[in-house]
Amino acid sequence: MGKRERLEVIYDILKAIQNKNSKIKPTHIMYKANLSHQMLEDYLKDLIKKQFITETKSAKGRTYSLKDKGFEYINKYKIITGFIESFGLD
Amino acid sequence: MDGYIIPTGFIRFDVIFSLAFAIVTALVSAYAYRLYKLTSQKGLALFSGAFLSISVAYIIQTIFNFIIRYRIGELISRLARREAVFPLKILSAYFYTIFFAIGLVLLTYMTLKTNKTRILALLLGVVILPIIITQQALRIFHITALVLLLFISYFYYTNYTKHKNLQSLLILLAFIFLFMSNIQFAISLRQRLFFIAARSLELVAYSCILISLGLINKKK
Repeated sequence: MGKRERLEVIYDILKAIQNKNSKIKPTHIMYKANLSHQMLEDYLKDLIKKQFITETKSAKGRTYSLKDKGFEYINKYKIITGFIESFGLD
Repeated sequence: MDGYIIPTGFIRFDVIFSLAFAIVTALVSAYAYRLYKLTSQKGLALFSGAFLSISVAYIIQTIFNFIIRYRIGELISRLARREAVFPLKILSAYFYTIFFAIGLVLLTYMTLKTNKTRILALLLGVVILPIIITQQALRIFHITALVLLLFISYFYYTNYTKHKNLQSLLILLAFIFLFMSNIQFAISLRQRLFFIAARSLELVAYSCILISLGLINKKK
């Protein structure tokens, strides 16, 4: 998967979490970000590790919410893609 | 060792020029690093490192030019100054060319879109070693820089044709101007007026980068 595509997928996941007021189940993210189950699990693991999101486990299952770094990513997404495009880093 | 022939009256302006270029390139480096921390894209780290190295080159040039212009000139007599300035100019040229060359190599490596560190090591060896061992470091540096800048400019031309927006056009123009300024610098080793032309072209190049950065930031 290309760098731009990966950045887009991350944006879609974070945006899906934000749109659900930071409480969303993995199946909803999978649908919104158009990912396979395995790919979603990999992305979620990576995003938790990078402290973009946090996972909450309850009797009803897992939910995800955004952390400060996740909000920052969403806010700066256009700058990130603009910079990457302009300087040929895609 | 060879050196630029800078018009005497231009040295004080040259300190301002090189300081301004150091700030712009440091800004680009810091910007890329901030985005790298957010995205973990290796290309951004490489890009940040390239501009940091170029910034260090300009900082070295600024410091040495400042010492030559303002300190040595005031403290030492004309004859002694001539003797003291010469080794400073050599040191300045060596450090400047090495750091600038590292920056250009990192940018070239970035355009190759490869993860093979052996290619980076090869590029660094081929570009840096001749600068270190030769007595004509500036001459060798400018010839090598011309090739690298031509390569980088072509990369940004293809990048512009891919995206066709003002920001990528400005980056393409910036590298074309840097390429042109490099030709002027090479000539300025013999003709003093070309040094001013080279600096002016560099100013246009870094202005293009700064405007592009401003436009990208506006997207927020």
